[in-house]
Amino acid sequence: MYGMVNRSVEDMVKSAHGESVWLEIKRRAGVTEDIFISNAGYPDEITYRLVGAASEVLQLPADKILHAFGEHWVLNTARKGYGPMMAMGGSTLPQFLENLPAFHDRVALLYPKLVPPRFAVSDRTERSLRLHYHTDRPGLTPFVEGLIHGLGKMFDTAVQVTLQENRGTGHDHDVFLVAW
Amino acid sequence: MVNSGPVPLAVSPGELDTLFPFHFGLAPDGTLTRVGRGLLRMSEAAATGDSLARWFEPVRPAEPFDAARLRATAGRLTTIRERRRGTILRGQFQVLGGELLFVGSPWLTNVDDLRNVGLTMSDFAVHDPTLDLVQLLQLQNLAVEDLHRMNDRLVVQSNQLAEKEAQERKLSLVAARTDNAVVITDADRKIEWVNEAFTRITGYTLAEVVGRKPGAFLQGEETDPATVRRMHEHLERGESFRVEVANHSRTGDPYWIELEVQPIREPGGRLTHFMAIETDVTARRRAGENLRAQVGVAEVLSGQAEAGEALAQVAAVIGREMAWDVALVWTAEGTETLRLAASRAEPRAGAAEFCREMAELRLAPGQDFPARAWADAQRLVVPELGAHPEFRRRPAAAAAGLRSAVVLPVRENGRVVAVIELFSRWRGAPDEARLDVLATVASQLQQFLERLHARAALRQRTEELTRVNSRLAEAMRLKDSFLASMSHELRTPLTGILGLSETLIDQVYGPVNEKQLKYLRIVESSGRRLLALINDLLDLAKIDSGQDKIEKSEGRLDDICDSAVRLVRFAANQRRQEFDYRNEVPGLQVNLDRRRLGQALVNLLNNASKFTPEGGSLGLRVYRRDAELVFDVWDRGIGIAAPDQARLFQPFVQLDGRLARQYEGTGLGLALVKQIVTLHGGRVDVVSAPGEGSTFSIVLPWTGQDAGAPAAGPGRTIRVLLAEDNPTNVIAIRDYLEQKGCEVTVAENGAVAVERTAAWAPDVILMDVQMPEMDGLEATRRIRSLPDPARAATPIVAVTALTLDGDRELCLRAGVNDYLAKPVSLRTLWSTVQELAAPPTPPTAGSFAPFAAHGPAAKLSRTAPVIG
Repeated sequence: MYGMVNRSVEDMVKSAHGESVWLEIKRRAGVTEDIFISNAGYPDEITYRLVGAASEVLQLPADKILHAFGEHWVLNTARKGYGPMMAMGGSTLPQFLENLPAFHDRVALLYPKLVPPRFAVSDRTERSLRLHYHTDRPGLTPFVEGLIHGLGKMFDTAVQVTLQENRGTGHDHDVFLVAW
Repeated sequence: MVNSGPVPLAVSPGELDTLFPFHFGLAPDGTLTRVGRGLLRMSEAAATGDSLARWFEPVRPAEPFDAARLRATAGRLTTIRERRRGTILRGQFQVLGGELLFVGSPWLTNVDDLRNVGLTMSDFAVHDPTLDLVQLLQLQNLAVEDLHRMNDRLVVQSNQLAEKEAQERKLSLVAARTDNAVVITDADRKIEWVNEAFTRITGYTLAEVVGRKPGAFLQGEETDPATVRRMHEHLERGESFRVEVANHSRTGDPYWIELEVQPIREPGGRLTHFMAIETDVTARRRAGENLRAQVGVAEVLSGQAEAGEALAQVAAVIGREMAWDVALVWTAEGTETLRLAASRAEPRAGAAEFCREMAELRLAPGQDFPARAWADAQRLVVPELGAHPEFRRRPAAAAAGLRSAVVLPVRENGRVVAVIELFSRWRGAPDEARLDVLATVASQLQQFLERLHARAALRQRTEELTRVNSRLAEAMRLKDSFLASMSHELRTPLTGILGLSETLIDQVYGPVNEKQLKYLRIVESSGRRLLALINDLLDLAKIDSGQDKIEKSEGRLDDICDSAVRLVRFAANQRRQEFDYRNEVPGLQVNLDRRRLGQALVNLLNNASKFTPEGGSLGLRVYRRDAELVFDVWDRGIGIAAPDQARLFQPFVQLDGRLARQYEGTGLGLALVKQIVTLHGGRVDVVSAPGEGSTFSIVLPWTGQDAGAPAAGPGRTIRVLLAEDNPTNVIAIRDYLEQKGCEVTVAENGAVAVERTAAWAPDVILMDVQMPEMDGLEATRRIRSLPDPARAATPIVAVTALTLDGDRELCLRAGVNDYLAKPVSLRTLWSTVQELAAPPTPPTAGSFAPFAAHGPAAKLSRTAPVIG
């Protein structure tokens, strides 16, 4: 993953728990990097280790941490790092969700070393749609859930997310029913 | 000719709008012919037919819009500004199908621009890279931001590093220069750095110890195992601790350190290093050992009285407190050979075996260290046993691991009497302080042994003196016995001579002629002079032995003075001297040694008479002067010159040889007077002038009071039991008393006296003390025990030649009422009998002796103030 992700984890922990907790998480994760460079690629393993160590140190399940991280990503990091595309992604939640596939196509162009997830939208209605999430990375479903909730907050829209299908139950991708 | 080029492209307005949403067409008159959907979203109001210049203005080229010119310059990069929002459009004018068109895109460089134009992703043609460009610019911004962040971090870290380095430079300077050893290890306790002091103390350089664990090559076996265990536990837990441990330097020398270890952790808490500060406490520890050894030695020596045991215990104390591995004490066997007298070994392998081997040895003169120290009387310090040529016991010492030694000779009165040999398993000589302490211990031992020796000599001398003293005491006892015996033997015949002379002079048995009377008086006066000589000689013996002391008893002063006057008046009369006696305190009751005071008065009166010419005058005046009772004995005799007066009271001194020849005397009289008066707390004053006579004044403290009138006489026949074994005395006393109207019965010993008392009921008993079968004292005791209270209370007068100190007390204690020394004056005897035979007065309150209603014993119980 790009450094931006790990930095986002760092920002989230530091803002909520302070510098010393972040250092302890890094120590437990065996991560020695002092600074994550936003546009540099890092092994996915680092991110996973950081989340695992945060779970130990903060005494929270990894799912909750990933969920929180999803929200944090949307509301803080992506706004900054993907500002132009976030700004152009749409002016409403459904519009933004519909633009997600194009959004990630563009991200793939801009970050050639990144293997971004793929999104698709189906069953669009006035008040809902189905969001399809394809990825090779395991365990990030709660992150996407948190991300959708973060988008709801970003657009001041109450949102309900239901995981209808997921890779853990034999499907090839996750399917979320997003209603607003 | 066939046109082989592509077929002319027909583009519909919709397709044009999809490909170029931000396009417009321009008529020759400058009005808009068409407007793309993107532009419509941006401007919101621009419409076909409107003037281009109404909604847009040229940026580059800056010339006003001119359709003809734009057509001529078509294809050139052109930027125009949308007037309402100010958004720049980047594109080109192009003639397409004869129509002048502008195709382009908003020129956006940041997210704010995007928000300002109010467009979304779908407003752009898919191929339009504008958004990607903005995103790239954003990424560029992120990268710049990262750089700034990194730069800031670097600046902070650089400052911190500089500060840290400065601090570290100072700390490392301190650590490097401090006297304490500093060791820094990694978390696995392997040395990373040591300071100069470490090298100075241990002998190991930094390069030699890096990567090694300190305990592996420094720690000594002397350290308490519990301390070692505790140390490891703290290290395992990454805790700080402080312990005292023994280390060994590179040369093997032991030293003690106080070790303070601190763990060093990263900000996150991970243990990275240990820092140890080692303070060399060897000197302090050795000082403590030295002190304990000295105190221990002092305790041993103060509690010991046996030389061999003291040596053994001292060696043990030194060995234990100073951690010597072996301590040996060598003493002489015979005159030449040394043998082991005591030993003490540390509980280490080989030490006890070494001691056992030493016990088997006999060291000849000069052989090995102890014999050499014995011969030289010098301390020997051997830092390296293996290298010393004189050391003969090398194999045994090597087996016990002993490497160095100190040998101390112990002297007593200048010669060596023992050698203490101390062995250590460490090479090298003890420091000066320790050698000083050992020298002090040797000196303490020497003093102890000399003291012991002196004490033994003193004990021996004391025993000798005790034996001599015992012999002297025996000699004194024999002398006292001889004096008593002589006194008795001399006085007994004198009693007869004086008594019978007195009887004849008094013409009791009929008249004697003048010549006979003269001779009888000579006989009597000679006898009295002989008696005085005997008394003086006895007193001399007492003064010699320092035994002279007074025995006070209560009595009337009149009696003392009257007796003295009576004794002297006779002699004065014979010399036709006028004798003036004035008693101005008649009836005064006193508590004095009556016999001694009487003796003093008699001595002074005799002197007064002796040194007064015939026909002269002398006298005695007794009176009270303030708080003093004064006896003035005066004469109008030859007087004494002032220089001689100072020598008057020295014993054995007569003022000049001529006087000594002219006047009889022993030269003891005045010395005796002075001693008697002094013993009574008084003094003797002398006023005298040659040719005018002298006044000797006995001055005593006044505490007396007047007594009542003397008891009336009995006016009846007095029954006197005379217990006396000497026939001469019996005749003299019995005849005299019978002449005075007494009824006298004689008992020849004590037993008969007891029988006659019970049977005959005498009024008074005159009891000789030294009699055959039963002496007078025993007889008195038995009489006092008679069942009849009246008989038991019969007054008894001891009439005895026992006149030594304690005799009077002896008699009174046996129960007699009064005591008269032989030779007794018959007149005194008669007055005593009269007094005692008087009807008894009722017992005074507080009297403790129911049978002793009369005489000194009775008077002792009185509580009235008396002189004395």
